[in-house]
Amino acid sequence: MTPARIGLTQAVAIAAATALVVLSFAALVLIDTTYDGRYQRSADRTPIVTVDHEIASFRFAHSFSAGPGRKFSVVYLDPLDRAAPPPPGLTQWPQPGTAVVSPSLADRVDEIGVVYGEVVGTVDTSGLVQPTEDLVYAVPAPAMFDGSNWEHAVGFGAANRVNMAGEIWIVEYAERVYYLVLFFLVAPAMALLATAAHLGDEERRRRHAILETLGARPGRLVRLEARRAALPLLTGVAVASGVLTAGSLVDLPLLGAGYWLRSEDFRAAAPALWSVVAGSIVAAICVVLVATRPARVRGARPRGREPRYPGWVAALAAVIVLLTGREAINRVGGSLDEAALWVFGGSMLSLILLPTVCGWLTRTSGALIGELGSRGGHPAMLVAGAQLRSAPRGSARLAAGCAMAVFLVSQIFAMLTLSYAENAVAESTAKPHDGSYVVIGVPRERSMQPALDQIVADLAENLHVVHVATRVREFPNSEIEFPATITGSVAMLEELGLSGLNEVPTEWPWDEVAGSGNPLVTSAGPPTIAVGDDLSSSQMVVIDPAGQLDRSQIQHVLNTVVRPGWSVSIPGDAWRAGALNAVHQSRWIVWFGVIGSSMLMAVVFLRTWQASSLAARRGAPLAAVSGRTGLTVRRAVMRGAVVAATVAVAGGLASYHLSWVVDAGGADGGPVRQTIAVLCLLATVAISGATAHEVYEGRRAVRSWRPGGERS
Amino acid sequence: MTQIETTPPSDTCSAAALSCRQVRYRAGRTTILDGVDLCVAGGRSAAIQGRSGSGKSTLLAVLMGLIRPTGGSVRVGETEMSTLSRSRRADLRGQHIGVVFQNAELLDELTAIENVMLPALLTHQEKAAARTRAHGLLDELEIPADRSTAVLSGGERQRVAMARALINGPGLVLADEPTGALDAELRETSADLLFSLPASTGCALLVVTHDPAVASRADERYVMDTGRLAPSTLDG
Repeated sequence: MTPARIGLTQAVAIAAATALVVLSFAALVLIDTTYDGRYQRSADRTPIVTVDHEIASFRFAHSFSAGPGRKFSVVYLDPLDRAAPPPPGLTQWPQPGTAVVSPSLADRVDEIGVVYGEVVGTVDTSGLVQPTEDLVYAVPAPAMFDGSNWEHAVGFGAANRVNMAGEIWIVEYAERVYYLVLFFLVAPAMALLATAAHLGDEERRRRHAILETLGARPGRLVRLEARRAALPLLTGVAVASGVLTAGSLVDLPLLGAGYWLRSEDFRAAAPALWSVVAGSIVAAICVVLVATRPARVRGARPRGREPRYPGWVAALAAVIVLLTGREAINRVGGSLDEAALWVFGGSMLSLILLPTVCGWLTRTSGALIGELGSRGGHPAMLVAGAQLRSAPRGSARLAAGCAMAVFLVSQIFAMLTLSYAENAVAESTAKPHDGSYVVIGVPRERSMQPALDQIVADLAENLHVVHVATRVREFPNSEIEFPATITGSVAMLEELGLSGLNEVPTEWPWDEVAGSGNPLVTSAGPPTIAVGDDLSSSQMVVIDPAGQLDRSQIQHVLNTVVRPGWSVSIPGDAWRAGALNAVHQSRWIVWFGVIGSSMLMAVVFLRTWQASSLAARRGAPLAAVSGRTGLTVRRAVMRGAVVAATVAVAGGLASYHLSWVVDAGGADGGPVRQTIAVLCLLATVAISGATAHEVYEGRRAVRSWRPGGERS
Repeated sequence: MTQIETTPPSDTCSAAALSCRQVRYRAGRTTILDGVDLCVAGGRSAAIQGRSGSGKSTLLAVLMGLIRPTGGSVRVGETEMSTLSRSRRADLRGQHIGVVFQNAELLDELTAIENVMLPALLTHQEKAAARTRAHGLLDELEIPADRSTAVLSGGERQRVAMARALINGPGLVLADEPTGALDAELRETSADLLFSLPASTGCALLVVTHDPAVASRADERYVMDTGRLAPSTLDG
């Protein structure tokens, strides 16, 4: 490989890595400003509540609607003064009986129209916390008024911010994102830059040696390298600045995370962002200068030996993986935190030991291949084995890089699987009730009895309606929980198998409706509003024995009778909503994980590129002298095979125990195992690419090799 | 069999272009140079022979100022080199020492003339003057100035290296196996050129070589053995 080609590759790599370093640091700044922006937009549309009904310009009520895989905010509005400013994102108040939805719900206008009124427009993104937010503004048609649900307000822009975005995790745990950005973005970007700066090390050392011999001072060499790196560094900074400038002009989506970076947040962060750009340049220059600093001339002192890669460390690593995995499995059923601690501790130790394990595997494989080559008289095996045995560092580093990438991505995927598993369990809990039962929270005001009667009358005749009330009496030091009361017509109770029996039918979602283990008392009569200080919950349960319940239609009935409509839910909805937050959180981890892993793979690729070029040159004399260029191919393929096998054994097996933890956590570890297999396959493909590069470079080196002196 | 005879340095060393007294160098517990005494006057040439591992390359690195000796004194002209900092040694090397290596050690990304100009530019000389001098040297050595050194033959590369060593008009030229990578004909030509330098430029020339034929051209010959230097008693 010519010095010019090495220089060009290094320049491109430094430029790309610098851009990533700048953007990674910018991400740290943007966490704050985007959160501030989200808070501010949330505050801008938060009603300013008043207790003085005389001065109120509108009334509002807020609820969530959760469906399979989706949760969105519903804000009921009742404008008392239509001349008052409407909510941000709307030009005027919607007419009674209509609704306005955010653009992300445009595909569900029919379904929403049935429940909340005809959808007559969309909310402008200026009124949304982020463009992909799911939000409905509904102005109910005239109906019976349920005063218990309404609040009065004088306008929008309350100082006390209310999160209406439904992104609880994001808002409450913003500081966690710092660690994600540092771990998954900043650290890999810096490693990538250092690796890019180290490209062409051998060529640079030779250049320094020549120049120093010709009289160049060390400082001069530093300036020379700084000048060489200046253009790529500036190019990288320019690219990153371009991205940041673009971000200040248009909204940028973070694909897969359901998140948008708002241009106004970029603009608000401009001073901090440009400071970060300046700081990143300094950091990048430091990294490059440290990586390319002139080496001290060591005279005739022997060069650094290869690492020893002791076998006992490999054995220790295996023991750690097995023990920590087993402990995590034992604890995952009890304390999840303790299990996580064991997994984390074991993973960190495994990561630290992985390079040594890979080195030992590489060297041992080399010795084995060399022995086989010696016995069988195969020169390619003999040479490849000897190189791997005596100088395993290059191959071991490549294997360790890939194995660590497999290990880290597997960890992320295992976490994801556990998060999605919770959502899947929530879904599977809710799903059997979907179509058979819905629960309606009933207010504790006797004045709403006519509304309840009207709703029961409006519901289809084939539906059963019962009322479930739970009561708890609290004392200073204790509380007494009374049996839940279920009230319905005698025929209905008989049909439900409840007549005269105080036992809960097994097919009922009783735990979700009345609380776990609560005994039952049946009472004949129509569903009645329950009151009393000891009333803990009051719910109406609508049952369709045929399993044909249409949740939207029931919500529509409620909305036409009561303002605002009482909300329909099914047992498991709350759990499902919580699980959706976990899934949302997981998407972020995936986003960071993918970028971080990609940068790690780029680091591995660059190191491989350098090592394989060197190996190709070293192998050239043998192939050239013997006239057997196939030696180069076979040697490279054998080296690649050893590296791939090492990745599979070290990275694959170390990750495999995670799937047991996932199994023990109640989720299906199968997909994790499949992912590990796919990751190993991808690593093999990457290593094959590196091997192909080595073969290509090797053939070039063989063609250009001349006795008596190495030419670049 | 080489006969080794140790003699103390003569008093004429005080005026030599290169003089070392009792130079020692140790790497860990290994003694590589063990009290080397040597002086080469301006206009004179010297050759050092010795087996591989005898310490020749380390001595050359000490004389170039690339490494600092563990003990003893190394003077280049009037300057005591062993006490200078790494930067000062680099300055001294750039201004007063020319170096020729076995494989020429050119920067292949540069043309022949750029390679030759480098030492002048590193010592902050005017670019135009450096270019003129480099052109003159390359013309004299019959090397095409603007051709990439990557495409030059071994002999041409070695002549470029010699031109590079001479661009600053050094008082001392150090050559490490300067003909080791050349064929017999080129070896003779290059050796002729190299050993004509003391007479033509007045510099001192020190050549480290395995080749007795090359060494025989020097005014003084030494043998290095286990870190000790002694005048050679063998004839060409």
